[in-house]
Amino acid sequence: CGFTLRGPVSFPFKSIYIGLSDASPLGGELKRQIRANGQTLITAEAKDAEVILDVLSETREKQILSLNSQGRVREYNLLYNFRFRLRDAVGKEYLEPVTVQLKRTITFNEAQVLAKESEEALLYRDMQSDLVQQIMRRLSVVKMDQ
Amino acid sequence: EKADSLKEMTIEADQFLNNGKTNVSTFSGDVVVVRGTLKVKAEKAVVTKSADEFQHVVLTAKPGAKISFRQKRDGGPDLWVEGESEKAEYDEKTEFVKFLSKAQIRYLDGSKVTQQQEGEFLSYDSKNDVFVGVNSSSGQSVSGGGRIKTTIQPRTEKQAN
Amino acid sequence: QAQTTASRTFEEDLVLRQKSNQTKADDKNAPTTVQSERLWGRPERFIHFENDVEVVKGATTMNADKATYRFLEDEVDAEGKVSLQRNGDCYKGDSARIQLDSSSGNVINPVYKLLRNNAQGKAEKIDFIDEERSVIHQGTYSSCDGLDPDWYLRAETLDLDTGLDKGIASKSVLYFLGTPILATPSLTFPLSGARHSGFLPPVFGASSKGGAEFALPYYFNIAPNRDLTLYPKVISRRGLQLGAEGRYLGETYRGETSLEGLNNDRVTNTNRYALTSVHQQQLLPELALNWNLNYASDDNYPSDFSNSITKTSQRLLLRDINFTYTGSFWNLNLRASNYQVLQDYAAPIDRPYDRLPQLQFHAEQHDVKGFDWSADAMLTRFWHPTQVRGDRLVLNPQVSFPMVEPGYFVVPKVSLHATTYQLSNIVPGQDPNFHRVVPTFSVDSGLVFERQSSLLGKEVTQTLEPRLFYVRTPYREQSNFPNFDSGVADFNFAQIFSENRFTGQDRIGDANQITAALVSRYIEMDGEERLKLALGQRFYFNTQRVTLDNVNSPSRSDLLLAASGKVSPTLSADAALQLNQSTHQSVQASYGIRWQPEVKKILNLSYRLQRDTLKQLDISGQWPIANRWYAVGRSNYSLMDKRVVDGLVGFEYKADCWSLRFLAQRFAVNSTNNNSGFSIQLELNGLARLGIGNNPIEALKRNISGYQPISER
Repeated sequence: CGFTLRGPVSFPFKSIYIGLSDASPLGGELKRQIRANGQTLITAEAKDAEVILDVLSETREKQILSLNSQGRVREYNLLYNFRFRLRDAVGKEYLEPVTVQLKRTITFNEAQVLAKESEEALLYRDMQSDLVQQIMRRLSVVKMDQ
Repeated sequence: EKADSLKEMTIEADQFLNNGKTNVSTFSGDVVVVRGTLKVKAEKAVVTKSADEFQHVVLTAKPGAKISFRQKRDGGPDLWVEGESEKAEYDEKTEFVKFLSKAQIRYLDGSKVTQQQEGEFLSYDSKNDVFVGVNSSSGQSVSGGGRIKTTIQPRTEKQAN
Repeated sequence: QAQTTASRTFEEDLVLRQKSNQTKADDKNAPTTVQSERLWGRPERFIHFENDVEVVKGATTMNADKATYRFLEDEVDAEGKVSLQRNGDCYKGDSARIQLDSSSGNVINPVYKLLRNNAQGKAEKIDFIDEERSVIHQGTYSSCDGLDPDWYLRAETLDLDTGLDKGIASKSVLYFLGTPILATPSLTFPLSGARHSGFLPPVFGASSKGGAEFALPYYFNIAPNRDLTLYPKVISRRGLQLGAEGRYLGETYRGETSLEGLNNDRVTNTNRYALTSVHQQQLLPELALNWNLNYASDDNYPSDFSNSITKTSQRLLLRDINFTYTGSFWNLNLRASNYQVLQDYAAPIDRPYDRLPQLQFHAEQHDVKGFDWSADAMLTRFWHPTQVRGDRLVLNPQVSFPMVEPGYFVVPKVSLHATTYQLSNIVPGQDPNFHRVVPTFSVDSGLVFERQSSLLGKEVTQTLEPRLFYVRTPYREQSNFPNFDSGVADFNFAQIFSENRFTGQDRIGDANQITAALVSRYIEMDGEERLKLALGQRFYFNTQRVTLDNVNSPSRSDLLLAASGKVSPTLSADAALQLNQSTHQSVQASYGIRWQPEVKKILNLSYRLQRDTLKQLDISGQWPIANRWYAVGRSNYSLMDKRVVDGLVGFEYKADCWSLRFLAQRFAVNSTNNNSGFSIQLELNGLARLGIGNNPIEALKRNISGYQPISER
């Protein structure tokens, strides 16, 4: 039915500078995935890179989703919003600002608040790798010849 | 400059034609009128002498060219006024000079233009030190008949204080 | 709560200020040109211009019947149908004077219209101080068009400063539809939303607990990156409450602290106060400090003092301070944290353990000769007033050999989980020491197939991603181990691919199971994920023997289904279902549909089920119901308790230059009663938001996903 194994993901640029510090877990995983992909060089300085990934905003938010009849929170929505754009050193934009929004629902119970802390971390790590995949997919379809 | 009004007016030109009866004389070809610091250059000048011996000069330029004039001004070591127009009239008695059609007058401090006027009719009464500008060479302002443009340069620090 | 028109973050404000400085044309040494049909004057003294006079200097243009330029004063006076344009703002008056070099001056009996936020009004006189500042005397100010605006501010003096983006009205009276509704000695308002010191619009309110309330917040814009808001609030039944909120942003630090206090609350005659403080700081490039401190003076504080749901429903207040040192491939975190429990005796909450302190070490390296390794160590001292206390050391090294290609991946992984406990405050005869070493072997593998296809007529890339995840963890007796921070994790696509079905470190579930999943994504040409379908199931080869609080061990295998994305340009849906195979009952389910034909026209419908704890139907929406009228509402109905747990209904009216919001809100506070709040908000575009009760926009944004205030474009 027309399915073939996915071929290598090629980026239309040779080198990229990621505007995220190595200390940021997202920065670390994104750089690792791009390196694992092969042909793209991650530069240490913005000026040496052919394209620059500008991080406009990276926000995590926790919103109450539902209460039970005693007014206790029973579900939270964990939101992870990442807004970025792609430009060159001079400022020419290859990818206009785009926001990727991810959401996971987590149940809550006051009795397991410590356990829920680590579960929240697990869900954010899961959203982070999902986000890395989506960023990589967007980078692979950027048109360089505008 | 006030002192010019005490000076005597001389007119030089290539040709000179005098009509004794009407005491009208016509100068033509590189006409230069001088009176003290006032100096006017034109192509043709028609001078009429009034009964009380005062002369009234009408100057015109070659078609496409312009009359030019330059005079020193009171109130400063190096203040000048200069300008051009297609036609001009000067009355010795009233010391009233009129520049008509596409006239431009520039007030200078040394070589720097501090103020400038362009329009159809610009006149200067040096006895009372008053200038007038009107948008039609008839001397009467015609509403909607174009406008006179005045440009005032910002005052440099020296002038400001 | 202080209601600022648009509480911008510092960053937005800084950018705004820099932008406004650049656009200031340098008019100082621009020449002045004057055109007129007639002129006369004396050189170096004055020039009179008459008939159709136009004066142009830099960004200022003035037209009038007559004008006079005086050389000495370098001033132009104009009379007769004067119209003056200055940086886009225009003024029409009887006469005007402009000082050419400083561009100061004034206009008499002007009518004005500002370009920036198309505010307009009339006045007796407007003084221009310089390029940016002007003072309107005995004038009116309104952002409504037309000669008799719906609302206007009449002030004795109104200082407008387009450079600092602020307007200060002194001795002002605000008229709305002809009637004066607010008189204030001084009112500051932003010309374009930036923040400035000054009184903020007063907040009226009423709550069933405190009676009528009145607050007059004052805002200090101490510096571009520091501000302080004070809000004294008179609560009729309780007394005077003082509140302060400080925000600061520096090169390496940022934070926000707010403090509220009411001494001798007449209802409880005790002192009531609350603190929340959040702070992040990079002490050194590698060393970061964070704290998140929350404290309330007594259990009923949130329900007595706030009518915002986010505060009322939080019964556990976190207090946490931590230092993080980041090395090249490792980090070390030292933290102390515990929770204050706001007890509700109708449904008591048991107190969580304190972690005083907790030392966490994490290191990982990738592609070391093809291997990835990571090591975690955690030493924690758990303390509890009544229950067993103890020190726990956890060591958790992991090694994997990822074979990853674009089309497939196989990741075998081996990890060891070693734990030792030293307990105290134990029941006599109970063993104080426990040890446990549990190895785990897992293999994660998957394929990624792709093909071009189309969804809703749009060309998309469809992927098909089968995935298999096998986990083998031997059984270790743990039933008499203490449980400090473990719990059963929600069963979802994140948890289905992790090795331990419990969260935390106290329970390591035995496992001999394989998880199979199939994911299909529809990706548009620009890389956006349009639709995602997922199916997952876990097969247990033997029953699980480790349980937590003898929850019956999960059945042979669960089925997990999920789908989310845009079904059509205006309709998006998401659904998630966890089906217990042996009982064929859904353990957990949530279905949601959102229909949004246009902005400010949205309907959300969702059903959520958690077996035996929660069964709710949630409807919310924002919909125009008549010309300029919008209805907003939400009803979160609990099918188990046959009761609306969280409800809200409201109306919004949008006029050209103002909008009015009514909002009634009701949410459960504890098992017996609800807290209901009512608020009215009048938003005068470009001036301020005047409100009774809590800021409704915050509640609307939280309750109705996709809600957009009607006053925003």
